[in-house]
Amino acid sequence: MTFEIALLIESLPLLLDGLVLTLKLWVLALSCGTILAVGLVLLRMSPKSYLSWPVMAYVYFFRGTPILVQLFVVYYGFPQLEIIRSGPLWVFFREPFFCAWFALTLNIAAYTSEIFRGGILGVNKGLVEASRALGMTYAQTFRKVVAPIAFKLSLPAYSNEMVSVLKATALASTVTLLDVTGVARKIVAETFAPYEIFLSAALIYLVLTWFIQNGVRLLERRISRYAN
Amino acid sequence: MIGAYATETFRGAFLGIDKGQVEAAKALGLTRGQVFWRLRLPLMWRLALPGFGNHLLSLLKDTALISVIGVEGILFTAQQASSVNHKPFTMYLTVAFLFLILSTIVVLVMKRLEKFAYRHLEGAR
Repeated sequence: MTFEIALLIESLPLLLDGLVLTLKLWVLALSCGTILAVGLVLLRMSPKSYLSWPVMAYVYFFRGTPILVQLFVVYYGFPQLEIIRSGPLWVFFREPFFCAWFALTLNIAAYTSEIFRGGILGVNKGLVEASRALGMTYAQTFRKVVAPIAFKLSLPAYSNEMVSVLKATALASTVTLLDVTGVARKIVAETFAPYEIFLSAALIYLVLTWFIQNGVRLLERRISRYAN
Repeated sequence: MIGAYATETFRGAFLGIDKGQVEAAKALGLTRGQVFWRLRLPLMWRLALPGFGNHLLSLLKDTALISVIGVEGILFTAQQASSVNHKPFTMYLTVAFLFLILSTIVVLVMKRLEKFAYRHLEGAR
């Protein structure tokens, strides 16, 4: 079997067509998942058990099952349910893009809420006590003291999550979406050259990961500009 | 892939070992090999356990991916079953719960192992 560099270079522009979809899925799922995670972590940290327990179960389920299975439950599984098939939600759930976004968002929310929880638990208790002693309300303390510090503490773990979400978007190709991996599979089916095509797809993901890591590094440097 | 991730965990654990203990062992006249096998390796394991457990969990979940290339894992079987009985929701949710049970077992075993690794500290805390 020969390895053709030319084919690798030739396939790159074609794969870049799929890049738009990969990025769209990544940005939408990550932003919505993170917003959901903020809500979840607030419930999770609540001392009232009827608020924290459902979130715990939710996180346990989404962290204990593979994302691919979650995606299949949504995309292949939901149409079995009569409520969804004949209800108003069918307009959304018949679209593979919506299903991929939906499954990814729920998954990201579970992981990210745990990351944020770790960050919140890492905030120095003395700071919280100090701001309470200064007469700040509970909400003020959270918004102005705890949240910024927790955000900074969570950033390294969150950047890992950003990278793994990027890699998880590749699973969208299993539900007929033509993202980078989906396009790669299509070209492989046409050219029978899996090495070259998948290798150039891998290169695209590698470059994206590099950008994410460096972007976060810059953000981290900016956030800790007052430290020391 | 697990190799790459686990290497980092082990490297971190090796770096986390208390240097004083290694120096003490050297001062007692242990050879490099002895220091590695009797001191560094057991100490490293203790530190690496939590990270290693996480890798085991993600490996477990990544095994679902083999169905994409047509190997008969649980997910692949569920795919075939749902094409026969037309109940994909039931099938895939069952798979999800099977994975949930498996990862619960992994978590419990790791907890036991961690307890075993720190058995010398029991009573001290």
